Amino acid sequence: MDISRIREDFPIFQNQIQPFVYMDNGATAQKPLAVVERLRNFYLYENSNIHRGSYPLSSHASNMYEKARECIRDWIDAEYADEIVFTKGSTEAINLAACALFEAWVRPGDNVIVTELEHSSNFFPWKHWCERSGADFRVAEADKDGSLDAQAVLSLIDGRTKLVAVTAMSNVTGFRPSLDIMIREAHRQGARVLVDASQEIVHQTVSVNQMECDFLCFSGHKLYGPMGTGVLYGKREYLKEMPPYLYGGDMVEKGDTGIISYKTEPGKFEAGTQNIAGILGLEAAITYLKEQGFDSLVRYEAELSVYARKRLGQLDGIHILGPDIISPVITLEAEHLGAYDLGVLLANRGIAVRCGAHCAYPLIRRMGKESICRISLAIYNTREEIDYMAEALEDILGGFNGNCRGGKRSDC
Amino acid sequence: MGIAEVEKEVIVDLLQLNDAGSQCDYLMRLGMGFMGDKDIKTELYRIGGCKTAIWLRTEETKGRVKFTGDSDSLLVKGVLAILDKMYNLQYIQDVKGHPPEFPDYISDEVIYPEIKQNGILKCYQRLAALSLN
Repeated sequence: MDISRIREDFPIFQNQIQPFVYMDNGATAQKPLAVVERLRNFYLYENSNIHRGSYPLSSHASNMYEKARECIRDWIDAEYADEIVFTKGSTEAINLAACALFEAWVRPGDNVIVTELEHSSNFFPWKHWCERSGADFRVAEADKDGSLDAQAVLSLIDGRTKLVAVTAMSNVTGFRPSLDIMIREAHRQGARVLVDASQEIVHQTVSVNQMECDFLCFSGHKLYGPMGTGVLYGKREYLKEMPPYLYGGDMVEKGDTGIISYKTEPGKFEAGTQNIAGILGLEAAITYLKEQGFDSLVRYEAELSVYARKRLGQLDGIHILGPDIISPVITLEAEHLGAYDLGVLLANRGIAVRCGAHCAYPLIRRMGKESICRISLAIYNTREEIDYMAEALEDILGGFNGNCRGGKRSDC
Repeated sequence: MGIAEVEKEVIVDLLQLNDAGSQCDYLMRLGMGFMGDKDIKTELYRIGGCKTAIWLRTEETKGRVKFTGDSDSLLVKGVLAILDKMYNLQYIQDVKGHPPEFPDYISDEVIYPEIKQNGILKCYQRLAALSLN
């Protein structure tokens, strides 16, 4: 694969005068020019609200918006376009699902299950609604290395389980739990499953059809799309039973006094003016990935992940945390230095990583850490960048024997 | 030496360091020399903040401030070392009268603004909140 051609598609890499090694893609990905131009063109030539006006510009915007919905349907292999609800991101998608699910199905004494792997956005909404409704909030314990035995979830599922909410890929370690086993058991017991695919969908082809999950969410900005975009997928029969989450414009079918009827899904969940330009930008991101050949991009990332793990694992004073897996998400710690220190010292050299608790407090605690340093790779990262990072780490740690070296930027 | 004199020396040191890398070296050296206190690494003594953990135990003794501190960051331990030099065993009223200014001379690329606000400033506020028994 010609990685230099891919990098050329991302303007941010062409506009740097200092070394800029971006390895915080788990937080947000950089955007290809195609996405930036789609946003720009919408506002320059196509800007109009959807589902409202009866003039050509509005019809065009409405058509483009629904075309984007169909693009997402195809991308995640959903059966119907009306199973795709646009949101501001995974956080809103999960909050929407939680609010609606609890109103529709969860009663005192029922339970909802999450895992210690979860990002805050797939942990706290469920905790909140369980506490509010008298349902039992159950948390499957992870292992100390950041992995999760499926049995930890299975042992919590019973006849009063209404939902299992689980990540497809940990944002801390890159670990992928055995979703098939969990989904099968949850369904056997009459529970629904929501999968947080925020990280997974960037690095693997996702099929809700094959996965047989009942709900799935992801954020556009991690998938090389704009911020402020995201998707909640829900099986048609479940979305039908769920009440709206936000009330207001463009979700009411009939609003005469006394009788109010709401639109059918997904419209009833998309109140107000959506981030139309953003959604079109998300479509452009997916189109870009398809044009480059997503499967070959996935393979390239996997090869890069193997190289990164091997290269960094050979460094004295560096310990890679988490289970021994191939993953574009790698967490590590250094002897003598805290995660924050590593982040600052790498940033001094133009290397962007994330250090902290990664909004995954239960998992960080389970791993016995206060904060850890995470590298998350993307399709535009290179072996040369990994080598540069390894050399930077060697320099930082090698100069450490009573002779600290904060270091300065050098040519990559 | 009084609080102001100690801080003046620190600020002079910081002004001579031209870039983030040099300031990192300076703080890490101070941090390596700072004892820390493993026993206070509990929720009881923890100062809030996401990016790095800071612990501080404070007490008043004969009208003076006495504290121990620790952090999972060597850079922040360097800052704690400065706070230690400035404030430890100083009279409470002197501590209250002299909020730290030296963080303004540390690059935001070395100690992030939110750590200055949520960590270091809060450390000082805990010291200044001590009252005479």
